[in-house]
Amino acid sequence: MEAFQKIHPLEFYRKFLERSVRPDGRSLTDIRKTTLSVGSITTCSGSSFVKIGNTSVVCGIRAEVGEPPSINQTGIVSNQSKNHSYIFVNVELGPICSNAFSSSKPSEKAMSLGTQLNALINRLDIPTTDFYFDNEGKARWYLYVDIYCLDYDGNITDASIIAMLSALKNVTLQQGIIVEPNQYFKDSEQPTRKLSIQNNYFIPLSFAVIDDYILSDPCLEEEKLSSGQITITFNENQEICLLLYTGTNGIADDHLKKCIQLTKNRFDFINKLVNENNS
Amino acid sequence: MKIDYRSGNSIKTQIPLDYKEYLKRKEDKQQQQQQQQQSTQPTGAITYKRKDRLDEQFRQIFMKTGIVTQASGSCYLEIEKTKVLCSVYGPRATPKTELFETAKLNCELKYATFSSNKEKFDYLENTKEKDQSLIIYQSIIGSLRLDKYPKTVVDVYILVLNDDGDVLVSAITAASMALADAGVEMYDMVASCSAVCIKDATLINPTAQEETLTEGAGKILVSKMPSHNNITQLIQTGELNYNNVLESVNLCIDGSDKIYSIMKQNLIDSLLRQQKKDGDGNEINGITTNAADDQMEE
Amino acid sequence: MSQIKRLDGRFDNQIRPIETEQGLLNKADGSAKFTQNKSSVLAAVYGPIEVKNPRKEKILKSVVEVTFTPGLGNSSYQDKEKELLIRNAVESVILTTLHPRTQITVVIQVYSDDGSIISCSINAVCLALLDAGIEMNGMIGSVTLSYQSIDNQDIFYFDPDLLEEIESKAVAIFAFGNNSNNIIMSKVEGKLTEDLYFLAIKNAREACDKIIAFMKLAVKNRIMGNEQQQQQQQDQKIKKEEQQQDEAMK
Repeated sequence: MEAFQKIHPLEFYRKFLERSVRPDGRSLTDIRKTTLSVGSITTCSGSSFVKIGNTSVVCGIRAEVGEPPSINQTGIVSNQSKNHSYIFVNVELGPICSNAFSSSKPSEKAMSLGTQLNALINRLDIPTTDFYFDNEGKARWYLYVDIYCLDYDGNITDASIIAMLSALKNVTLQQGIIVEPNQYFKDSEQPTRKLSIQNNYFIPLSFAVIDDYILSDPCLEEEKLSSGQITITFNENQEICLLLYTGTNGIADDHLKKCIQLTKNRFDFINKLVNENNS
Repeated sequence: MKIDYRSGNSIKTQIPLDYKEYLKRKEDKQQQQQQQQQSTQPTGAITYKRKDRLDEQFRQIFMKTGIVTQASGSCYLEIEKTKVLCSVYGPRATPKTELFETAKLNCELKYATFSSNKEKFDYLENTKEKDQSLIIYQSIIGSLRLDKYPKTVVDVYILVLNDDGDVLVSAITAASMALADAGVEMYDMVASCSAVCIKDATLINPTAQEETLTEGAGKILVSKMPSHNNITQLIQTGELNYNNVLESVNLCIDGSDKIYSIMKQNLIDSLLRQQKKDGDGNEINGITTNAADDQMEE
Repeated sequence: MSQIKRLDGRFDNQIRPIETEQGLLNKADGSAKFTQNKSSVLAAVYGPIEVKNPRKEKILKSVVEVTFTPGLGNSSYQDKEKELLIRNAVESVILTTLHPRTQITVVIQVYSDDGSIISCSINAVCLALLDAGIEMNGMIGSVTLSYQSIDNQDIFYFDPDLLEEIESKAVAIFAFGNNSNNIIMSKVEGKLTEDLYFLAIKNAREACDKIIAFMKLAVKNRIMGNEQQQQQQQDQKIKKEEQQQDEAMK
């Protein structure tokens, strides 16, 4: 049977899918066990570790101080300053997680995922005052969110989004002291504060399309065989924050509807998972 | 083409220091200057006392093999706050024929950008990482039987998630465990131990704070194959007198023997776990694992 | 739905006027320029050619490679995502299995970016593929919608410009083929409810059909010749002759 799987992986999968089951024993809509732990890394302001099945990612947030661009400048800057972002997300898919990635050049997957996460972050609508370093906001905190994949077994998008959100909720920022311009110090005697994103959630779920079957939470093998990928992310108001379908075959509306419904079903689980770890 | 992801941010940012620490440092500097004015002899060394453990005591170690499912072998290692993950790929065939008779060993250490709250690490490899990669390479290459795998490559990747001192020791130990987990033939596993000498005290398994306490402090790193009683690498940096060197090398050798016993126990445990998974009576492949069993019998 | 005027004078469901030009490049196997007001894109197609990177070679089909070059500066990691979207969309209409072990390279150069740049690129690539004579199972058209809610009224702006994209609550990009009703590519960023999303799909599908119809006309005109063009050419000829006569007279 192993030989069959190696030589004709797609045929092998079809035999299972006809019976609505996957080789690892899951049904088509089953999602692998998802666990989350928060704050395990001590050297950064906020961190989280997410595991979905074998896929595991660690997310750390580094807070640095800088002066924001002056708003008084004319024209285009005012337009940008509206969307001036204080959070920068980066996804690292290094050779440590899979030999499909090289260390010299960031992979296409990592770059596009990074772009998507950066766009998602802006939808959290965190007030600018949250990033003030001192009271007046002369200097601001800039957060660098780095997501490292440790084990790549498919569905990295879901893991990254959960990790990013729970790490952001874990961030503690300190009040700062500016001694001279460009000399910033943390004041450890002042109380720390958190970002005001307490009621916001992202509920992500990804799917792989093999023939006419839609598989929730695909593993690496399924992702490789799939002809299309769907990623849906909801927020707490059940609005779509990110929906992405790419594939070599088209997809019907009904399939998308089904996927959206499945994502909604995951709402309570993620909600509970993130809340439990951040209380 | 190397892309810095942060090019999206045109603002220069820095990691702020703690204000208390800053004030303390300022005071220390002033004191030092005063002392230097009073006497010509520098009294640089600071006395330091460990609070939570003895000088020659190790921190808690946790390790687990087979963490990364995509890799041939992997190991996650924790020395209290220091966290390191290592994965090994190979031996795999390479189209390059320059190395004909033996396998090529690649070793790459990477610090996660958030692994330190003092230093900034970029996404690109910096000199410190290159330097430490080489040290790890030299420590473990002596233990491997690379001549068994001609025309192949063995890749070792190490990621430092949290740096609280003794990164090199963790990395070397993790790399050796991961190689054993991957079933690469070796003479013996490499265990490693390091020490920092502050004034007269020799501190085994230092934390990040202890490592940076004084500039130019004497540091010793020993990597050895305990069952052969061979030292694969010995590094000494900083100012140390002869007796101190001898003493700390001896301490480190003892330390690495202790780590070795933990490594061995872990490997056997992981084997038993695997055996349970495979079902009883199944043959386990991998020569190193047999070797470990043999050593147990000895 | 009542029609709403936008800043640039368009109605909400009106796309900007399209201009296309095929076969502008001599060296490329196929090329096309797709312009909608200030958004202008040039696409060039090379292939099927030998695979340059042997690691990427596929035994059963040809590899499609897309390079997206922005109008200003070097390509950033945001452009990689665009490449991925465009590649996936275009790959679904190319009959890749006809040329195994080969590569089809698509190069996209942006002249100017004023919103809806991914849609423009996909449309340009479709025309360039047609120009290159690469076998396809149909045409592909793409459109971008931006969602705004003004006074509790949900409005979709078709083919938004850059300002509308920035100020919108959500941006949705769609690609449809002309031979099936299925969605080839879809990306939503922002906040959009499920009902509105399916409304957007419906709207986008109609718009895509129109864009594909336009592209068909453009290709037909290029191959068969346009009646108007012929007329113009004749007019010009007559004018020239008249001029020559005038000169001769002098």
